[in-house]
Amino acid sequence: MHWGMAMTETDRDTEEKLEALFKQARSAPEEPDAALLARVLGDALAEQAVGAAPARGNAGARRGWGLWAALGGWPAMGGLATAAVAGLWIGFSPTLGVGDAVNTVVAGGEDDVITLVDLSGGFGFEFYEMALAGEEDAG
Amino acid sequence: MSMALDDSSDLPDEALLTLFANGDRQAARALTLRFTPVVMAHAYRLLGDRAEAEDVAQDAMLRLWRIAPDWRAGEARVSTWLYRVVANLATDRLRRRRRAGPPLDEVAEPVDAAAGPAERLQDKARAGALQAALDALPARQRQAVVLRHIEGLANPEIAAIMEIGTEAVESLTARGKRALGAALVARRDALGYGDD
Repeated sequence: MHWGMAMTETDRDTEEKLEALFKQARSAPEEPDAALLARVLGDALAEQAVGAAPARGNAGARRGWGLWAALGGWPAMGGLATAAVAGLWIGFSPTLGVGDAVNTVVAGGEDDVITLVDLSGGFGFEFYEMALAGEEDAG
Repeated sequence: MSMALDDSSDLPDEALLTLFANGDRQAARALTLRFTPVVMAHAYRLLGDRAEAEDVAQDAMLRLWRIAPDWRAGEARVSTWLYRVVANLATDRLRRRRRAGPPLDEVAEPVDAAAGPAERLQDKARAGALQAALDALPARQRQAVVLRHIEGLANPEIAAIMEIGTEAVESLTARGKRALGAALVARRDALGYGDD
């Protein structure tokens, strides 16, 4: 019985000493020096630079971005839309007539035609003017 | 290098990580200052070697930078994820160390308190003794004891970090503490505990 109590006291004493050591360790953590912080931040900025480059990502994405860039990006898309719309109109016009093409493809009223003109830019607008002139001539 | 604190330092971890992924340099700075001390301290406690701990800390942070664009919000706390990465990297290093050379407790004997009467020296000796005793624990016990008693985390978070149940955490910490206590008792004279 006495031995058991003595063991308990020893355990408690060890526990207290251990807790004191933990407390000391908590109050004095191993800290990073300026050189390590600089290396870590350097890695961070380098990874951000890699992430910002269009080359990052899978091969499909790279090909997509390459095609996009080769086409000139967003600024070129206005011209491409113009060409596509003009091509559509030209494709229809010989057989249906320009006035029919507008009515069939756009399938709507005046608002839709205006939207189409906005997308296609100056060239499309000229074409639209020509189409209207053609309609007037036909009418 | 100047690393002044800024407004970013008040943002939650995940918000900073999102900003970082979007190329925000202040977020990179704030995350560096917030988490490098955490991973450094933890790596040192698991490895007992400053140079190796620095390597692990840098590597763990690099993994954070790389996962940032794919980070899934709400799945895990950033700190939990980092503690886990540090533990895995430290375990790899300890395995390599075991294959390459003698165990640490043969080369990192704590400073003998008899070397000087100053309290500072005794504190250093005791800190060295604690680290040596931690180094001698099995890896999982060491990880659990460090997370619980030095990092001061609650058992549920430790369970998440170690990917085990809270009962297993309690068992590991209890066994680890018993082993630490035995190691300290064996060195009580050298550590100035002899006349208590």
